[in-house]
Amino acid sequence: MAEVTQFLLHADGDNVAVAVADLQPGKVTGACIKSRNTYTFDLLHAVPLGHKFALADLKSGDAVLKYGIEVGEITADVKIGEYVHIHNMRSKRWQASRA
Amino acid sequence: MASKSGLTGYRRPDGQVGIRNHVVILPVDDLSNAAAEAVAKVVPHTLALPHAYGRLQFGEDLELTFQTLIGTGKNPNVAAVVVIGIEPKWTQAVVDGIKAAGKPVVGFSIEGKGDLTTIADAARVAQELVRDASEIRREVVEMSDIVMGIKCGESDTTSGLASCPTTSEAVDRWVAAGGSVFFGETSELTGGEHLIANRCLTPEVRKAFQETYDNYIKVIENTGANLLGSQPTQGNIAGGLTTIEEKALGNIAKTGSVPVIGVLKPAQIPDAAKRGLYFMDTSSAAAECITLMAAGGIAIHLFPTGQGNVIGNPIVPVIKISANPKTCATMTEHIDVDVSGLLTFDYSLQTAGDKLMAEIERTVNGRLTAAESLGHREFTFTKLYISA
Repeated sequence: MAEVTQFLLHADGDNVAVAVADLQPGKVTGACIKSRNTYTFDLLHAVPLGHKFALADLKSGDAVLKYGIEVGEITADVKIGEYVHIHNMRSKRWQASRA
Repeated sequence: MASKSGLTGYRRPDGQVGIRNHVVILPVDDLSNAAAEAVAKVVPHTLALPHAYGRLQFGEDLELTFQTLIGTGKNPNVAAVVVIGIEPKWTQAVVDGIKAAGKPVVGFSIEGKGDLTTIADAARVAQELVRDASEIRREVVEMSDIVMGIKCGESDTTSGLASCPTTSEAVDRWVAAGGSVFFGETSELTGGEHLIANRCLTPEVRKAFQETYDNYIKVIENTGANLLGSQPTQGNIAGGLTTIEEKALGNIAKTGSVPVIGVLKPAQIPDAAKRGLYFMDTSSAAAECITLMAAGGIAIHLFPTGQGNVIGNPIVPVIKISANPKTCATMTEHIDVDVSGLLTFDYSLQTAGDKLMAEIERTVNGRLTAAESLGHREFTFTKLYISA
């Protein structure tokens, strides 16, 4: 890798990525862990190591895709580059589980 | 002692292979913990396994406690057992169960004698068992002789990215070499249970898996509870995980790519001739899960962690694998294998797998795990319902 990997996607087509370092707002570069395809995004929030940000504009009710599979749904509109965590997504399977 | 595998272990009378040589002092019930611990103090090199249950249990819940006690005694890492219970009848039931494995096992009951006489009698026997066990020699064994467990804990997103896929490498290699591996954590397949169902070897296995999963989830969902903070845990959430589905896909990332050949009840010992990847119905709580798998016969356990679960087991070495660079830096005494370099493409998954396999070989051959060296001996029973 020419540049430091700051975030990883599990699958090309996922709409969230995982920070692999504590990231500050601004331009960030990363890659898909399987395909090694590289990506660049403008991060709008600080995102701690292990936490996620959106790779697309997402609306309330949209599916969150990670590993190419639904891992939950958006509960408040999210812009590309924004922090995604339990404040704006929740489980679809366990509807009683919410922040 | 050289072999193709480079592995050595203790072959037990029933043919099972252990990698440790414990003489266990096993209380049948909570009341007998004090006597069991006293025997272990008097006779060095024995290991008492105190626990919280064993009284007034009934039905399936009692059967599971018996199966956990008996399976723990039969575990191939155990050379011999002294069983101590308050009453003679249940004590004898546990002794008889362990006896089927062909290893030395002697029972003592406390009623009518008191702790002090029981301790003296049991200590004399324990001393002889320790001296006999000290003569059992390691012999050359193969991967196919050793049953492995896998379970992750205090997972975070680095688990699904790196430490679980590394474990997956070991699972595939172990099964390819003819070995058996158990995975469990029934609730923690939610959102990816179809991936496991699709890997079941036969329609019968698939049906058994689906029924087991559905039954467990029904119990959880019928409570109507908000599980956020319990499953996923607060640690999972602090590490970036958000939902059961997200956690489950990380969990499943450690199960290899081989078929699921059977479904085991909690603490069930499978047919030793049928080797491969088994699903065991367990809680996702680390100590409960590993205690059940140990009773099912695992000799070694792989434990990927993100935020730094410190779990150990009294009789089974637990190897911790982490890819979280902060955890690897701040909790070094708990982490056996650091694969954080996978997050930055410093090396390949195959190289991480090689690193884990090397640690497994050393652990099998006697090197203490981080958890063993820190005295982690979590022995925790799964309770199915209230006692009478």
